[in-house]
Amino acid sequence: MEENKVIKSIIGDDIEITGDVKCSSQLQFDGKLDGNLVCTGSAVIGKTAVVNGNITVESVTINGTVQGNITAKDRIEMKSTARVHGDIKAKRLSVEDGVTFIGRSEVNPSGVVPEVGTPTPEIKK
Amino acid sequence: MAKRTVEVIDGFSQVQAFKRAAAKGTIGTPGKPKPAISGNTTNGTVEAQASAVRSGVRPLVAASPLRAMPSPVVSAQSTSTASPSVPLNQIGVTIVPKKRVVTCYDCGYSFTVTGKLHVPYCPKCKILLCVNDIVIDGEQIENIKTIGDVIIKPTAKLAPGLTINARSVTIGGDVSQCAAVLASEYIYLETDGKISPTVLEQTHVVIPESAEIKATSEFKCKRLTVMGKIEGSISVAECLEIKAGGNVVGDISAPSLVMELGAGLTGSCKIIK
Repeated sequence: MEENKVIKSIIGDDIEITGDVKCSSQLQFDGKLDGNLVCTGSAVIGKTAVVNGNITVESVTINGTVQGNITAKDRIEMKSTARVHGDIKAKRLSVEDGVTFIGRSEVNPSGVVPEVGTPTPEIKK
Repeated sequence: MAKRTVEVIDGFSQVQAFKRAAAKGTIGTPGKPKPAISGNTTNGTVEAQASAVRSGVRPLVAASPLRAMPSPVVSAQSTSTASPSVPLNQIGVTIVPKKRVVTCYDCGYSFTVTGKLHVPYCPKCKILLCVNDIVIDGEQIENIKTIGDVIIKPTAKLAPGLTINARSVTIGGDVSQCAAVLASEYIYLETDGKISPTVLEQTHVVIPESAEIKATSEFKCKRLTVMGKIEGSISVAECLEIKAGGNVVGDISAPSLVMELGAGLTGSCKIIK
């Protein structure tokens, strides 16, 4: 299972990044990012994380704040502390009670991904 | 011995019956099974069952007199002393009375009824509650109040201004003329169900797996659980829950959203407390 994979990269809560972040393995992000996040593996957005930009990943677990669009090839998990302002697009989606989400969702129960290609960096709005 | 008729059989009665049978010597004492004599094992079983029948108790299903032993400690002892062909000693059946939460349709007071649901009185407002399950498949002009279930078939014709108050309501027909449809538990909305926008505002609505609902105007309710498919604009006062396999297409507005993996959600969402 992907949850059991070892997280190779950790960005701590005291780190602020301006610009895009690319990662090809498992990533835990707890800091602040003004830019896009592209990850070909799975990513965990921690409780303290604030992402102002688009996220393109294989699968992502969101505990923190995201201001931007999220696109996942596999799944998006929004935990109870998640705050998302933006559109989401994924094959599967799970949402816990307590989530704040304002945006558009495109998730089919058949598991068909709505036009999600290989993760490529996108220009931040 | 006079023949008795016992309708309800529980574990205690069976244990007592087998103790009486054991006292007469027709059955082994609990914990001390009779030594199995070659060729008599089957007879012993028949005797035990016959004894139990004479004493007014239905014999156990398993063809062994030693299944009615109450204590696991005793059973462990007897297992060690008994031959390998003798099964463990245990009570076969124990009946636990069913509990049911009843909500009075007049005062809204909830209380628990244990056992069979006879005609109950509300402990608070002292009115006699109707317990019938009602199926409406024709013309209905009177208001319905019951603590049972109501099923509205597609052929039902409900008079305008009708009020339905029940434990659960299955809407398979047209209730758009009704004043209100209230349920203390759930309202199941089937594919053929037709409602007006405000009729379900105060209820917990469930869209079953087989249902496909199309809302032409804004669908409002207190809580919504989606296991089937619903299309249209949805406004939920408390919580929107989409189970795996459920699909929501349209704009949703709710203070809380719970969604399982495998569920579908397409549309604009406003989930904010």
